[in-house]
Amino acid sequence: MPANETTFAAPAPQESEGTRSGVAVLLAGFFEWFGEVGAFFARLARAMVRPPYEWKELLHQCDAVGSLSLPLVALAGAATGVVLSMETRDSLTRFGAKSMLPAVIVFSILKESGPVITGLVVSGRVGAGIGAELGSMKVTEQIDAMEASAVDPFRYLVATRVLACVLMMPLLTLAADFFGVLMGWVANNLQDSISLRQWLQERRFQRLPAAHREDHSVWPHHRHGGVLRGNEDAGRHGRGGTIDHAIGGAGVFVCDSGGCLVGPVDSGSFPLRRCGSGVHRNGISSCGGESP
Amino acid sequence: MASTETEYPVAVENLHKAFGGQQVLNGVSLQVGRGETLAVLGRSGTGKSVLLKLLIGLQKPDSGAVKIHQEDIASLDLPKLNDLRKRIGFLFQQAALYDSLTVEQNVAFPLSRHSSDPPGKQKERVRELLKSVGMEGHGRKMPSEISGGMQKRVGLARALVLDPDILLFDEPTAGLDPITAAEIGDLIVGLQKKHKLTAIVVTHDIRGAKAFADRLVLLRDGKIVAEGSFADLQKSRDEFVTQFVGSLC
Repeated sequence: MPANETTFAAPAPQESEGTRSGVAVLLAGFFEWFGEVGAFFARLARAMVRPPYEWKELLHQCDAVGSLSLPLVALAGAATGVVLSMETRDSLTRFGAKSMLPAVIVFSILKESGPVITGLVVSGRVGAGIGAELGSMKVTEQIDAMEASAVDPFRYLVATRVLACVLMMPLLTLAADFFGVLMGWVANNLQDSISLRQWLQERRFQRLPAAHREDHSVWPHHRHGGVLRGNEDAGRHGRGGTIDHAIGGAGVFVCDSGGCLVGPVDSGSFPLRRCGSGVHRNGISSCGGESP
Repeated sequence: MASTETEYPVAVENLHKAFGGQQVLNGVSLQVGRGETLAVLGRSGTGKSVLLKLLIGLQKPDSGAVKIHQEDIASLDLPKLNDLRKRIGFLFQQAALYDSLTVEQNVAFPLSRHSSDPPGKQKERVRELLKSVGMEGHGRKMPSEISGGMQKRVGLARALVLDPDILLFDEPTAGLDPITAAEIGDLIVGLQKKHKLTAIVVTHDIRGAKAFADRLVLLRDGKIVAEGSFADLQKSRDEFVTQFVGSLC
């Protein structure tokens, strides 16, 4: 059966060729897409900087992107603040670091959650809206009509929308941050009373999370800090004495070249005291072995 | 030869256009004289609307030339093409009004971008045009609040706002009842005569074409199969032409 032999012999090289050409097509498609994105941004940049400028449409889009997204962004930010406050409280309490709650909430919202939530909400709400609007305009020949009227649709429709998003995103992020922190404080206040001023001032503990490094070889020339758990950490920190000893139990410390700031973890107001070569209060004579 | 050239504000030479494997226009050539109204007829999908879009540079031909006022539009850069587009009015099949703008703003849209007239004068021009198409008093309405016939009228006003010397109509009477279609037809004839415009009208409406066109061309399979006055087409012995034109007899 020569015919059958031919039939069975053929597929192997064909498959290999097919795979190769498939990969080539994929690669070509990728680079084509990449080139199109590049060309799009080049055209966009040109449209943004070269006159005539569509100020009126830009203002209209800023309103559509900014003020119309504000309620949703504020709501998302507020919900994030509340959830973060409620969920983080338990974890921090378990580790005896409840006093870090304001810092955790404020900084996680400012640095992470706020921008991410704003980005997601705006891309969802505004992105979908813009896509639907431009798609509808294309289908109903409105974009062709604009071009036929000697108006550049890219400048009028695309540049204004992208610019409006770029201008409004930071403002919306601020709004999300504001409502997140505010509602985090409100949620916290349901369990522990703390003034907003105090809540915001606790930001000074920003050094703590990053300073969980236990690189003591550089102390006291570089800043570092950590959480001490009763006697577990006794003898690990300081020179000639322990911070643990200084505060008489579990505590948090932040150190720099000037000495350490120490305080008990469960205190709502977190009264820090400087020991080492700085100001000494409350008789921290054993801190760093440098009693006054 | 300049005088001969200016007699034909629109000239198309051996135009070819394909989408994928489908050849839509296959060697179309025509000339339209100053002040003449040409009706382009043909079955759906024969490239009539594509021809109009090629004339205004919304699409590019695969080969052949489109000359508007002796300028080959394929060779023009965007600013020059836009200068040429300001001299062409285009009425789209579904009017293509900007749905986020009011009727007044729609008509004023090209004017506000290309006219150096003060805003008061521009508003006056818009009002005057809306009045001429019978849309006075509807300026503050949104396109979604007016009927299809009214949208066509507004589209016509917008097409005329820059005072063009060439008008392109894509199915101006499609989707309208016979009375409204006749009104739009009369309006086109009136405005065309008043402004002495060169007009190309793509239509299926044989009755309308007979009323307002000086000359008709019939497209089939991307080619012109018949050309002449309505009477000339009626005399044709071609079966397709007879079928198409004969429906009115």
